[in-house]
Amino acid sequence: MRCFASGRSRGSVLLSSLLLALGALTAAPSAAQTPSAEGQTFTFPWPPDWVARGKYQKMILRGVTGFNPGQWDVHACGTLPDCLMPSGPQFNGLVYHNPVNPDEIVCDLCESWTVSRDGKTYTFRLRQAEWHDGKPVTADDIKFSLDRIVEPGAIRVRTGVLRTFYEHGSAQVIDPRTVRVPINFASPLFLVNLASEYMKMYPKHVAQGLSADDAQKPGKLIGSGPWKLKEFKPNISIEYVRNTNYFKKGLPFFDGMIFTIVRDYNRRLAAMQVGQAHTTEGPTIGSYGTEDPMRVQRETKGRVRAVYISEAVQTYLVLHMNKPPFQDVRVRRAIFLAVDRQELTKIVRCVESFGCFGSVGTFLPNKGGKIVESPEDLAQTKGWRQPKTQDLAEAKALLAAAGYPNGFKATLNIGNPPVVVKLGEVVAEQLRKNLGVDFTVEPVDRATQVDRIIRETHHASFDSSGVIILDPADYLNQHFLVIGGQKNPDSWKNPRLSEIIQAQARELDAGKRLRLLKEAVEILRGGESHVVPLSWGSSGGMMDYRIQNFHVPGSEQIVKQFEHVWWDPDAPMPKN
Amino acid sequence: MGKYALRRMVLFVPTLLVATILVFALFWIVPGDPALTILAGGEGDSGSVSSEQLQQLRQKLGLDRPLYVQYASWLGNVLRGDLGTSLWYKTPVWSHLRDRFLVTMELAVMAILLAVCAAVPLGIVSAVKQDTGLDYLSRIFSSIGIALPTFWFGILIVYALATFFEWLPPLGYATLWDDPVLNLQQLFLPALTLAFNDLAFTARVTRSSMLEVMREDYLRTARAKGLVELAVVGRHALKNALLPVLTVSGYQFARLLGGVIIVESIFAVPGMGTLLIDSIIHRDFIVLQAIVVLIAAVVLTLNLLIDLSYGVLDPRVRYQ
Repeated sequence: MRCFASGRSRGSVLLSSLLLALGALTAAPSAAQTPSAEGQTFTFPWPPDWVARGKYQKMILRGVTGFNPGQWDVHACGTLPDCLMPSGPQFNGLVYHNPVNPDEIVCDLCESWTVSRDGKTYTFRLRQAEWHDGKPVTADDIKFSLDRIVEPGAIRVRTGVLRTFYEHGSAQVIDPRTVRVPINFASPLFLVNLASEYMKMYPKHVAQGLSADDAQKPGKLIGSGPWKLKEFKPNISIEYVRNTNYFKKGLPFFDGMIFTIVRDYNRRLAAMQVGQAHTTEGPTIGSYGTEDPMRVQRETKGRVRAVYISEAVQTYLVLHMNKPPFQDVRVRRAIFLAVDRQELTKIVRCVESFGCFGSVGTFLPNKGGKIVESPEDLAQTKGWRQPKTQDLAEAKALLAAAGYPNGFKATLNIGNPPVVVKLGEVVAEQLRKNLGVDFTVEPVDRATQVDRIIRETHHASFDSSGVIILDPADYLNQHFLVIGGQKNPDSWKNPRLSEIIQAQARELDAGKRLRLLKEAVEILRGGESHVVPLSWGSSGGMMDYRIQNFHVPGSEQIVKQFEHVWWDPDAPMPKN
Repeated sequence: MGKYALRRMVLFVPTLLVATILVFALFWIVPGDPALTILAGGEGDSGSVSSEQLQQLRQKLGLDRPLYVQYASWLGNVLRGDLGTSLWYKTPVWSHLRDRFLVTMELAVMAILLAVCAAVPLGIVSAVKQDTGLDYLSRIFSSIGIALPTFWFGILIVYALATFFEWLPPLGYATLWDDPVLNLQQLFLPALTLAFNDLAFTARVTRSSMLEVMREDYLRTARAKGLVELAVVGRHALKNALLPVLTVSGYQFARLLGGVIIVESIFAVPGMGTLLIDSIIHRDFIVLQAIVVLIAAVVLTLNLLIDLSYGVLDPRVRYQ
């Protein structure tokens, strides 16, 4: 790289630094990096080393899932388990998270990408791949897919973020295997967002003829992915067969997969316990983020392996500013200060003899190797300080100043999963004991809970957010970029925070970007917003110990294809 | 009796109509709607949706129309024989109901057969051996059966089998025609769970009914004639004692349809119960309405058949 920079002007050096930064962000040890006149090219030869170690088995991978999907168009997915998990295995992205090193972004359908010198154009060279109907994957399909993702007016809950970077219709087909994608500004987040599992590529000849409703039906859309959907039997099973013409030669390692739909959580645990299933859905999902997988691991003497992603889903308090007294910033700040997150996490997330399945809530996830809110930092921070006396004294003073020296009565809208109910009870008790704020806790099913959040029927609500992209900015986007709706029902905004959200997306210098994120956190720690972080929860799951090559990703939203795992019947059972 | 049956069947229509209006109204009182569950997810999910997206989907699904318009539109379709399209699956509701209804009926019939086949002998023994150890044992058993909630018994069965025998009914579902053995493996335990409560109740009814009949003069006469006890009980007592048992079993069958909702969920049986729970979770009121209509029609028909059977079994009963 020194060679690349030498002998050039200062401007060129800066540009080179920019490319290096973009390269570092996508940090691709699997990639061969070559500078060229256009910019920097990252090439991903196939197969990587691990493919040779894989063992194909003439068997069906059996799983259990608690979800009965209704949406099959990944671009229009509202959620992970009801849409992405069942439909995802049929498709590929242009790029994705390396399944054996999930923090790294690598080529999926592409074999290389070139970032222009100004960082504003990505040129993708495609592998020779086929759709499930045998037609070749072309650059035209990629352009069509990108345009479909950002289609104006289309409902795009999980993929709409790409509109920030990519203008509809702006991609250019250079040749059948090369597509040039201009983006609105050089950004460290473009590839990270493009690598999201929701950004799947579709065949133009199939997808363009489908209405939005038809695309949501199983089997209507086809992909190029490792699995073909064989049959979806509502409430019974989702069955896939191996794509024998998969362009990643040697993959996948099973003949097929069948996920049996079992709505009852305990029945799913029992299915894993008696060996009726090899894996849970996903394979990880928030509902298993408790000690239960560990318990099953213990009871099966290690035959079932518990898998956890830490800091996967956060539960936080939403304060509804449409209701007194929460329109008063002093009251919001008092609540923010008075929650004892350490105690809360210990009571709710930690289980004797199994350990903890969560950590204290923070504003941003420490993902993608970026630590914005370290434990050392939090120890000195208002709202997280221990012992709690200083925070409580300040909180009481704020409430008194707001005219509520003895607290007040309020209602708390929460979901009804056991962990959430427990969180709700502990938070309500802490606030009652510490401030005299007497919350009536009202647990309801998810649809009711979300409806109540949006309509702001209660004084406060619990909600949870899963990490979608491996970057701290993920939560800034989820909670503060979208104005109105579920995650920001009061349309709360702060001018400086809005500036930071825009600026960090454009900042290529990692150090400067981290400083921006820290500044965003400082603003949020003022306790003025609607969000009061409570506790991080793990995402969990279970797998038979004979399933090999599963590498725990940083988010439950990535590495969902089961293309890289294999079955080793001779694998030694791990010591429990 | 023909006129009576016809009159009762005509009354089905307003009853069904009221049931659908009630469900429709209740559904809209409960917060949340299909657009929300599609975009924000169900249990265990953590979606994120903006108000604009929500409004857009509501418009597309026709949920922004006044309530009476939505109901009238649904009713109009039903009258034309179209139960509608599921808001969640986007496929015709009938295709879901057809398969699920058969599964649930099979489960319910198995359960009622199990219950009656076990309960009648148990009740007879208990009555014939009144106040003996056998009677006490049978009464304790039936008391436990009545006291234990069905869902709890189901969970206990799953727990016990998984923990102590490392076995559970196979996952998935095979129809009776495709694979009878697998089908029975899958449905026997849920049927037993459903049957347990009914079994206990029916056994008690059989016992009381038998005790009452056995005190009748004609049985004393039968014994005085020198008939063996088996013939007295089997030929003379049981026939008359069975009338209330039949009545109870008929109503129990209708009640079972409520019980299947939980049991199907615990044992992952893809019947009407799981479809009903799903449609509530997904707020898919089109499917929910169709299920309500179907279940209400089955219950009404059963009630009518039970009422009519009185006249057949007991010549003293006449309908006008």
